[in-house]
Amino acid sequence: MFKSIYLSYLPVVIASIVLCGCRQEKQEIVAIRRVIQAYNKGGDTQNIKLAKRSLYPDSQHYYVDDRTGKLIVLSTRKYWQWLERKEIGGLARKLVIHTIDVMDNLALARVTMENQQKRGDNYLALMKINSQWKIMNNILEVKLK
Amino acid sequence: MYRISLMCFGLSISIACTACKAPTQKNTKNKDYRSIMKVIQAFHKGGDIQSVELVASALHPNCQHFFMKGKKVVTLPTKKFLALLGQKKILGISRKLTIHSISIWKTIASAKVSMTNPKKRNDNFLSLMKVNGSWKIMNNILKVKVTK
Repeated sequence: MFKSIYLSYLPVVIASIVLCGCRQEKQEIVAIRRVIQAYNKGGDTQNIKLAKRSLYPDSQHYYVDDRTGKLIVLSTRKYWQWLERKEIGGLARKLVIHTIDVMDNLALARVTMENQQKRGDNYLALMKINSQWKIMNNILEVKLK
Repeated sequence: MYRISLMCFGLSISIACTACKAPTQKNTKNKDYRSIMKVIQAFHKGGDIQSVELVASALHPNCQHFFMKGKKVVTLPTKKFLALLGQKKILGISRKLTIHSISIWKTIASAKVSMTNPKKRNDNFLSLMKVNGSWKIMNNILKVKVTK
């Protein structure tokens, strides 16, 4: 008797667990999208507050210089300095978030930031630290048009 | 008539070009997949057998490893990681490697992998870059879960 009652509720329980999981992942994706948008807008408007909100201080940016062909390792602290001095950024770019893959407190996003002068394709690695998503690493391919 | 034959000629040329080009792009991508898999396998095996040489061949010297320890983030630079490995203070236990996915965009790539043994499970997102013709791991974010 009890067994049959339990069994009849089982599909409902399973469905609610799956739905909860989906909703949780959706919320994480929304939060990650906001962080990526803040990073993009922070660069475009040279807004240090936005850039600081999205990047983890120990994170690094890697890219190959288009002219010299050399690998550049740019620390986030240096990136913030340059942004503050208005030496980089300041040009509006169109942001396209292609994919976001979430695994517990880790995530990976593939994004493109593009304007008339150049196109940057990025893989961003993110981590949820004390309930907030932060960009831990950025590898990018920059192409001048 | 002349115009139609010219169009047919143009069409056949473009089809031939596409046919020649497509396998080449596919071959390059397959080659990149294989190279990336080898790099990940070297990183995994090097850790299991505590081979500094093997791990160093897979990691870029500026690569960083990030993981949570309680509520704090641990940032482990590759130099420190290799030093700890050389002193046999970390790893040295056989783990099963699963490469869930590899995504490539020209000279940059990412991979989702798991390394498990009966005691713990590591889930990693690896960021890779093709530097001077060879793929290197530039960043590793991981989640460690103790299972026993």
